[in-house]
Amino acid sequence: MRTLLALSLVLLLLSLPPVAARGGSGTRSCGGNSFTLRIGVLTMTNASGLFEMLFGIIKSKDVTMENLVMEIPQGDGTLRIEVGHVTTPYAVMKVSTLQVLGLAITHLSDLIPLLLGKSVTWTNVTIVANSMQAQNLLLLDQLMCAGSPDGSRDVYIGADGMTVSSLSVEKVVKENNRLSFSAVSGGMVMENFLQRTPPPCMCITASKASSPETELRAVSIFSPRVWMASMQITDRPHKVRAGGVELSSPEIWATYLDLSSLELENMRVFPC
Amino acid sequence: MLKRLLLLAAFFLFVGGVMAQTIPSPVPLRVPLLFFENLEQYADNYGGVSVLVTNLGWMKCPGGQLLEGLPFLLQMDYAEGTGVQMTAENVESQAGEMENLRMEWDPVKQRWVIRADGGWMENVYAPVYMVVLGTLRYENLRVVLS
Repeated sequence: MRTLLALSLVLLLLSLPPVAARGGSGTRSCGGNSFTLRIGVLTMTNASGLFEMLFGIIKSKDVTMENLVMEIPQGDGTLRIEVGHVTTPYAVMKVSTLQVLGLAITHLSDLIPLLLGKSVTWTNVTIVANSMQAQNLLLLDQLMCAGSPDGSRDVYIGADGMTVSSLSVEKVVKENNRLSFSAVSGGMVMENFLQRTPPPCMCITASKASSPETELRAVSIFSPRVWMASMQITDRPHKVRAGGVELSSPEIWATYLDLSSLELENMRVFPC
Repeated sequence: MLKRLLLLAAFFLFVGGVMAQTIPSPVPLRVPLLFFENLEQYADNYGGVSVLVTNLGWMKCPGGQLLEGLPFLLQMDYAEGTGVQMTAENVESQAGEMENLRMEWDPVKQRWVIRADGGWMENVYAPVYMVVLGTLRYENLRVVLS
């Protein structure tokens, strides 16, 4: 009877979310503010121990994800990141113990290979996470959005290539019934830059544009190929932070743009 | 009937030609180096032509400037002005820097505008329709018949 009681207590403690287990504020609900990952096909090798897993820390190696959709609640809305194909050699995710148990139950046959460090492939996986970080990510067909672009109202920014040393997506803002996300980037360089406003149309082109600090309120950012040296989604409030980012052929729809200083080479401004 | 149609076509071509000629051709403006403050740029319409309007609160051209393509050339070694408005086909520059550059919707103008607190541009070229200067201080102004 005592053993049963002790076991029930241990199970109850384990089922608590990590924040509550650490003695965090009881007013914060776990599920409501967490972000969601929906993955079409997930291939990974487990790198965390049993106790780490029970406490909701999932460490994984050689991760490949196909058709990933991340929904991150921020400010006035939800930031959505859609990626066709993702690869990362190492990622750490913090989830609730209940989530771990749920994943274990739905993939019981893979439990032993997973604990033995073998690669497993799962389809149609949904993970509710509290935070995550990954290194050396390659993302193909990546779309980050808070709403749908409206060409008659939004500014278009395009380039052959874009690099930023740091990128932080702080919050989703709603202005004049338009949802956009506020992104701050450091050390931005764009090759063959084009910026076009809605009618009366005005274009700026430059062979090279660089800015030490850029504040952008974007409706969407698309790139067919993105490389990130590091990426992190922080615990609540969820902020997306990335370092060493390279985007090929980015297409940005923005509602506002502010650059602390912009250096332009071979600039041309013209009505279009 | 054919004669009437030809006459009508000739009339419309003539009217079209006259209307097209109401705006003079733009004049090339070249500035080796331009410093500016309070820049504002937006697309507008000038006599039925899409143009780029550039307003500068203050500007300085230490390397001089040149207006060419007129019956005369206008050249000066140094120019400094305030309240500058330039209506041009476009503005090109080989290199430049803009401080605190913003691209924002202007509710009064009902269009997007580019604003910058200050900056500089090198080897500026702009085919201009009109230049309005609030004040101008210049050195060694030369007017050369071309």
